[in-house]
Amino acid sequence: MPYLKWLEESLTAELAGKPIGEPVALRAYLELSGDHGHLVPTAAAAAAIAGRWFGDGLPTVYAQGGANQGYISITASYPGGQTALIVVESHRADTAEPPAARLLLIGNKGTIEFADSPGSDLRPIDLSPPFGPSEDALADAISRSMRLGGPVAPEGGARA
Amino acid sequence: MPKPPYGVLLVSGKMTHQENYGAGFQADPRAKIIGLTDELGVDERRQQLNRQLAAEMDIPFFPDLREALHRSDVQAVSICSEFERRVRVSQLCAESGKHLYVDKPMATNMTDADRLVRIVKQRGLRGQMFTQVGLPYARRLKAIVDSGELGEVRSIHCDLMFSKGFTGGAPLGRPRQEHYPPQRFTFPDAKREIWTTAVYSLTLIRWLLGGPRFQSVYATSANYFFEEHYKRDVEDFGTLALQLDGGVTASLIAGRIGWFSHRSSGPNFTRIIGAKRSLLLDAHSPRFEIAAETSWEPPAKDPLDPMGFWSSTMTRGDAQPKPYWHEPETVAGRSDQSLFLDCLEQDKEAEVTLDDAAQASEAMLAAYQSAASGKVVPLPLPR
Repeated sequence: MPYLKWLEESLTAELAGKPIGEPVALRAYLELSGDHGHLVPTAAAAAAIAGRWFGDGLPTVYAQGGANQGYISITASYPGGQTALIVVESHRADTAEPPAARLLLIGNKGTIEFADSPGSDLRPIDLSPPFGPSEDALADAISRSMRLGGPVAPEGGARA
Repeated sequence: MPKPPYGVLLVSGKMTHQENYGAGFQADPRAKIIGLTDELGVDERRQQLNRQLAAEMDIPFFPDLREALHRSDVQAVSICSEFERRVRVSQLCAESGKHLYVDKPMATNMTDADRLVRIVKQRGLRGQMFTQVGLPYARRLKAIVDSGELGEVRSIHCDLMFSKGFTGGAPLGRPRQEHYPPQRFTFPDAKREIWTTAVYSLTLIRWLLGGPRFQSVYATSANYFFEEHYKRDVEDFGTLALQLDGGVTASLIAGRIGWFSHRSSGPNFTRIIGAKRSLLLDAHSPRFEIAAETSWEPPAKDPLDPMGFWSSTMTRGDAQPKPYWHEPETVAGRSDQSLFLDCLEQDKEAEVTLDDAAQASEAMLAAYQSAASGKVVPLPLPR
């Protein structure tokens, strides 16, 4: 199972008891894959996952950075008013640091923090981004936002 | 510049940050507080609060700012007037030839901000806005960036939220409709959180990078937590995505998220992406995490300060620090007031000048415009 899929399922289970009230915002720092081609799909996957935690549709996205910079930073604004700021970096194997995932999920009654170095416990792990219709639509919107220099609403309406 | 001690005049008193700044100046032997003053015509509540702080600090109270500025023993002024009066008071003090120590943010519009920066420059004065650059986490970040270990900085991301206030009552499920330009900034029970919190990250980002200017802003604002903010129609949470000179980008979260939403004072992360490597610094690390039979309760909601803005109301409510995390000192911090006194003593520019303060105001005003329009706002803003 892709790491982000596992992370989504795990945190979804945590959220079932509403420990932080209603999730309203996400900050994510992801440094998973060394493949620059994974930057946009990973950011798209994270934004799609956040939309499912928020229980809302696809967000408008504003993206900065790019493959040549080694990172993508997006602001995702969801139809219900929630927000996600997601930074995805290419993992740099030459720094000898493991891949990293750090989330701060903010609810209207609390926060959940998550920090992990996936693979550092030697478990085999799939760090490639998960995909699906929402992820594809968001990847397209992120790419268009970088090209246009402004916020872009994904095509395809309110899937989550 | 004469030798210290420098005579410091305080403008505005209790239930402003002067409670902290005045104490900071009192603690530094290079400062001598001459007294506390304010504009003639401030309302009765403000007059009483001013007199209260003067009495508590055991310093003279001068009822007329203009008269007090004639005093030859005053070299510098610490200005904590309400947002809407702050730049006017600052201009008056600068026109009297006094060095300026100004609460954040400095100005609510760019015409006044430009004018103040111009007066300070023309008169050869020193000016500094209060920020967090003296705090240990900021000093650590600066040392890391300046060391070159990260390589050329490509992007900076700051998450600064304050864990204060009693949450509840803000309706969820729809986007906040932001307004531009913002019409009012000062409320007894709410603060615009982009205005009062993003200012720290905006100044930190430019300070770390050596002062590049903001080129564009894309922002969102929200009401997630507090009935008080919702009723005042001001945001309790905001995000900014910024472009700076040289192709550097930045993003930040600014907000107030409630007493129980963090084990300490609130999340404070900085992620710096460099050409060689990246770094994430948690301002609360390293830390000792303590699990014991200790419970913590926030102070009772003070009807005059429900969000816990001011030190005096926290003291009155017997607010206790949270017992969960203890953070040993790694790098010594500097009080912001002592950094300002360095400028006077060494006749040097402030680490955060009033021009930097104007840049922060401009980025935040652009953020409100962006949040209202849903568009990227280029800077500088039209004058």
